[in-house]
Amino acid sequence: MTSMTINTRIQGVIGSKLTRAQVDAFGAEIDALRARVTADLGQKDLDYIKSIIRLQRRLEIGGRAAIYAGIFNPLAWVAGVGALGTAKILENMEIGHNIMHGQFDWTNDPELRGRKYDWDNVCPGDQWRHSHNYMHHHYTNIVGKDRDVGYGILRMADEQPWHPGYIFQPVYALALALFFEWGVGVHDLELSELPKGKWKWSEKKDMVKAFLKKTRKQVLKDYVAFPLLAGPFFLPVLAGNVIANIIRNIWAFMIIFCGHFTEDAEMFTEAECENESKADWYLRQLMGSSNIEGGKWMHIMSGNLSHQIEHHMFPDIPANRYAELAVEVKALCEKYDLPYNTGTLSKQFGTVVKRIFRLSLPSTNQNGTPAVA
Amino acid sequence: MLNFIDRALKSPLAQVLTWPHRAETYLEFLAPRIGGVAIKATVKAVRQETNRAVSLVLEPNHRWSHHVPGQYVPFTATINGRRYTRCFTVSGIEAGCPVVTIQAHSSGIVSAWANESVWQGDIVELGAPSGDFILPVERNEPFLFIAGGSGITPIRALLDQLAGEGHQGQVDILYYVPSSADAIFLGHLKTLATSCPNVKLHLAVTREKVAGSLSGHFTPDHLKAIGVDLSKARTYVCGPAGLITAVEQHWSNAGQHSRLTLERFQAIELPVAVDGEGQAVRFSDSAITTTAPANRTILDAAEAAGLNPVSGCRQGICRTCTCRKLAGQVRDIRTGQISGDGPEDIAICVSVPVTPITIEL
Repeated sequence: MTSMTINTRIQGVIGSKLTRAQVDAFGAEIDALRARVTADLGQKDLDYIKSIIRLQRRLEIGGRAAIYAGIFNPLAWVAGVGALGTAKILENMEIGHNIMHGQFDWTNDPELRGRKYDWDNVCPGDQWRHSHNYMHHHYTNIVGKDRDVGYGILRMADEQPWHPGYIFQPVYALALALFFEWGVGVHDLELSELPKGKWKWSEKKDMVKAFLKKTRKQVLKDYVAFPLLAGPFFLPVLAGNVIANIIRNIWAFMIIFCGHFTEDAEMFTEAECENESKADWYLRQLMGSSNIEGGKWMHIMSGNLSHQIEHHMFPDIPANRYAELAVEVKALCEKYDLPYNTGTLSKQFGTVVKRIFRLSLPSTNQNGTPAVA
Repeated sequence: MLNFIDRALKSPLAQVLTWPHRAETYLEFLAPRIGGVAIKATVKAVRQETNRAVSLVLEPNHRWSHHVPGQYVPFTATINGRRYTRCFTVSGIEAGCPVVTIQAHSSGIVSAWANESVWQGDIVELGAPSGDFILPVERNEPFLFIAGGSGITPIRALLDQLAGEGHQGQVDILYYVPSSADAIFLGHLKTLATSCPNVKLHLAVTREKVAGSLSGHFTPDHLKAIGVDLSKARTYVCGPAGLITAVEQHWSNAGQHSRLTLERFQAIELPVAVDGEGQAVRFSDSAITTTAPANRTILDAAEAAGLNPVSGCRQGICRTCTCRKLAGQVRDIRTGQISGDGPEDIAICVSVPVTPITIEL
């Protein structure tokens, strides 16, 4: 399917610089990048993900042991909480998120199967695969389709109608950051749609059951079993595990919000994205995503979502390849005179905070064009 | 001790503490050789048997129990990041270590790897041994063993078992090879025949003339030449499809098919179709076989066959439609890459079958 016109929103950003044929040529070059990297996948990619899992397991075991050692030395407790938080970040982001995209299905390794993997947080893997892999990655930044736009709680696009409740959205955002795994956990249930009568509890019995089962096991592990094993030191271990989970929550929130809610990340309407071709889809992923600059560990700790643009163009290519892909995607953007949204974490997250505050107030122009260009 | 650790990791407490991952995988990532649930084996020695066959002496971990001579094991190797599983006969046991003997064939990924790229110290995975190509409980009849090429591997295991037991009955070995240089274990077999007066080795060379050897593929004349009466002997045959078919035919004609014990090699890979050929698709869970029209995806074929598999973006991005392919090869319509022929997860919305395939759906 090839569309003749260019998405009007994208046209608005790039002006009339690109013809239809040029957009298609850009798409073909992105396709060629995919083919080249896919053909090159091999031992080094498997070794990479295994080495990260090995590191994660060591950090987790070491972290939990150090939290226990906190009985004798409070500094060990602090180090343990840090290590466990880091382990959880790695497990959720560089390992779980990427495996669940099917990035390592080609290895045929039973531990790396995208369809079967479940991660260490309260969101059931199957529900994540639907809300994230399909709804978010296919309909990226389309208001009304991609529920990651505000998670049903926040107003992150001018196109979302304002109501007075949004005045307090900086507070909601802070709460979401602290309890992010729970927000993600109920995300696929679409709780915010319940009062509007879009669904009934009886229709989602299985999803609720799956969520409660997952939640029970997560709570049993972190907040009951490990603390109980410490006997009289139940509370310090419980506190350590709570804080480790919150560290992961805040970090994941920051990285994920930098991915699509920086000031220059574009939002779209359904109408604008009708009859999209693959090349248009690539352009929408590019315009709707933003990268974070940083060193090797910034990329690893963000699950390579610091390369959000590349992740959205190639969600099923192993994330350790995004760094090399980024060089080429950036070069293509320069060649076609397309914007490439990137910046340091502090710069990008600064604009996210700004966006949260700005959109807590009514947009100056409610007809769909951004209030701030 | 290690078996105790295995049991401890399976305990409910261990599973609670490591949820949502299996406790066994924690040890696997820290100590690959003993962790996990599979039988891991270290390649202890690599021995060249012929120009295109090697024996790998495998030192298994504590999960290996025992096998019956003549049986095969599922053998999993990781080659350039991808896991491949093939079945190979255990051709012998050396100091408690199972030996598998692998002959390279033109399109075999694992057999080529075993012959060219395996290193001492590499770790492979083994499955549980199985197979019925084993000696009968009653061993009072003469034995005839017919092997073709690497079909000698389970037969060697049976011969070694008989020799080890001091078997006194008549044993004839009829061994077909393209050229005498291709005969695996030739030295060992000759030694066996020299040291045991009841064992006779008859080499049959199919592609060249060798003095003192039979020549050409199996014919009933070969039985006459070696003086074996098929109605009296308990016969074992292992080799390529052509040999098995010829032997089966002859034994059936003589009304003696029930006295044959057969071991077939795995089916040789089917030729990959060129663009524009429809392919048979079998959906194993729904027991439906259909034909995927040329260049149509498996998802399309499933829907055309009345199935309603879950799917999402239909462009290979979200992988909602991922299914287990059990057998056959597919082409990724985005990159043109052709998959392997073994079981693996594929996104069916971007996969076009290029051989007959089986999908778990």
